[in-house]
Amino acid sequence: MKCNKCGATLTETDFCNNCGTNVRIYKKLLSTSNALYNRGLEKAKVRDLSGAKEDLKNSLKVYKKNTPARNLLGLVYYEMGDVVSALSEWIISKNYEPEDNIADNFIVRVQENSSKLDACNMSLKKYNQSLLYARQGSLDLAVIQLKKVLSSNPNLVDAHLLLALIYLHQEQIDQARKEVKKVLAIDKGNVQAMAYLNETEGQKGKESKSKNNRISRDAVAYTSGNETIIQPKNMNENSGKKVFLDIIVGFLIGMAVCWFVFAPARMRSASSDANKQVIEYSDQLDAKNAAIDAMNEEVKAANAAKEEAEQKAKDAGDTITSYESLYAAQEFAAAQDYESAAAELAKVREELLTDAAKENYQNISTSINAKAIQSLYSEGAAYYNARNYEKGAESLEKVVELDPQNADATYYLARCYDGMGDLEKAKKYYEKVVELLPETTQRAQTAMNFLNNHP
Amino acid sequence: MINFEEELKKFYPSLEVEQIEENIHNRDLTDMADLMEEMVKEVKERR
Repeated sequence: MKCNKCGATLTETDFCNNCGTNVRIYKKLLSTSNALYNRGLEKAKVRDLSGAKEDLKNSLKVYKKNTPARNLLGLVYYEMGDVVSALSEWIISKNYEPEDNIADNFIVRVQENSSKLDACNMSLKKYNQSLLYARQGSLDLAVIQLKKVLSSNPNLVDAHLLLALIYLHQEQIDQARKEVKKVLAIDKGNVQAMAYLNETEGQKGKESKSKNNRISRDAVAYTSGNETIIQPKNMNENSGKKVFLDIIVGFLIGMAVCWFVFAPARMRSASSDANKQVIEYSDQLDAKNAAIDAMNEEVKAANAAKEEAEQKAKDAGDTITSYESLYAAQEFAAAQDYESAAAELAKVREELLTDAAKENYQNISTSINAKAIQSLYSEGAAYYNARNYEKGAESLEKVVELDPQNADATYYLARCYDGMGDLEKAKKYYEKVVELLPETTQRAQTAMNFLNNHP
Repeated sequence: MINFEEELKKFYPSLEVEQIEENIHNRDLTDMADLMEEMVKEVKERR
């Protein structure tokens, strides 16, 4: 202990041996300051930082040059995340006691880790900003900012407390409680944190009470062995109806599960089988259709063969008939019945005859036809002259049929029809007359006159 | 029941590094020893 006037070391007496100043009160003050420092140190040791802070502040109010007290106060600030206040205390401490001061060591260590100092400084700025937000009523912004502060400076007690207060205000009791617990882990004697903790417990109690009330209204609680069972009031555990209802509901749920889980798989399987069967049947159908087509082709071929055979048989029959008719025609010609001979010749199919027979047929045909034509024409002309037009037309038709270029027969045929009053047929044959005869002939003139008169 | 507005008034902005010097200069460091000296001085002056 040194004299406050001259700095000489003091003895047990109340006066300075060097300058003679009365130091009784001064000694008393130093003693008080030291006592407060000791109490602060004890509190700091048990992490009652708030209590320690108060005692150390008081100690420094009594005697500002109590360097251990100031250094310890700086440490307390540092531990509570307030680095700037800590630095302030250590700088003042160093100013009062420049030599052999542990504050020097603290300052150097803080300044060495400049990034941490910057981070702490930034966190303090953000804390100030969030305090401003909170005062302006922007609590959500304040919460966001405070979370950032605490992520970089987790020991900043004021930030925890402010966050807890906001959570309490927002009735987020559990969150508030967490923050308060964190504060108390840093600073066990923090009165503000204790008050907030009481508040959270009070609100928690209210909540649980209301919850219990709800339970008691809606449920019945009873103890079975070591367990407390809370059961809805309207629940009747052993009710027969309820058991029956449960079975029905369980059965329905089971059915629904089967329907929604197993049925689709089975349906898919059945559908797949059906598709396979359809494909199989389709293949079989195709094969059968192909067989039917082949059989139809065979039937067609058989029909064609049959028709060919029939044609051949018919041709064979016609060949015989043709030869028979040719023979009959020769017989009729020999008997000078040229009309019958010509009729028989008409039945002959020339293409079925052999070459020799064909030649014979053509010779006979030419001879018989010429004679038949002559005979028929004479007959027809005779009928015409006798005004028997029907008979005349009948004979002359045959002539025109055998010799279409026979203009005389055609003319008399037209005349017969004219006589019979069959103007259409008369007109037909008159037109033919005009074609066959030159215009200058009398018959052609007659035909043209008729045609002009009957357009 | 905690009053939010009242509680908020208990919080103060924290010092920033840039404010250390100003804070130290402006701080009232008068202690009881200073007061005692002043009192002794005043008494002596009155005499």
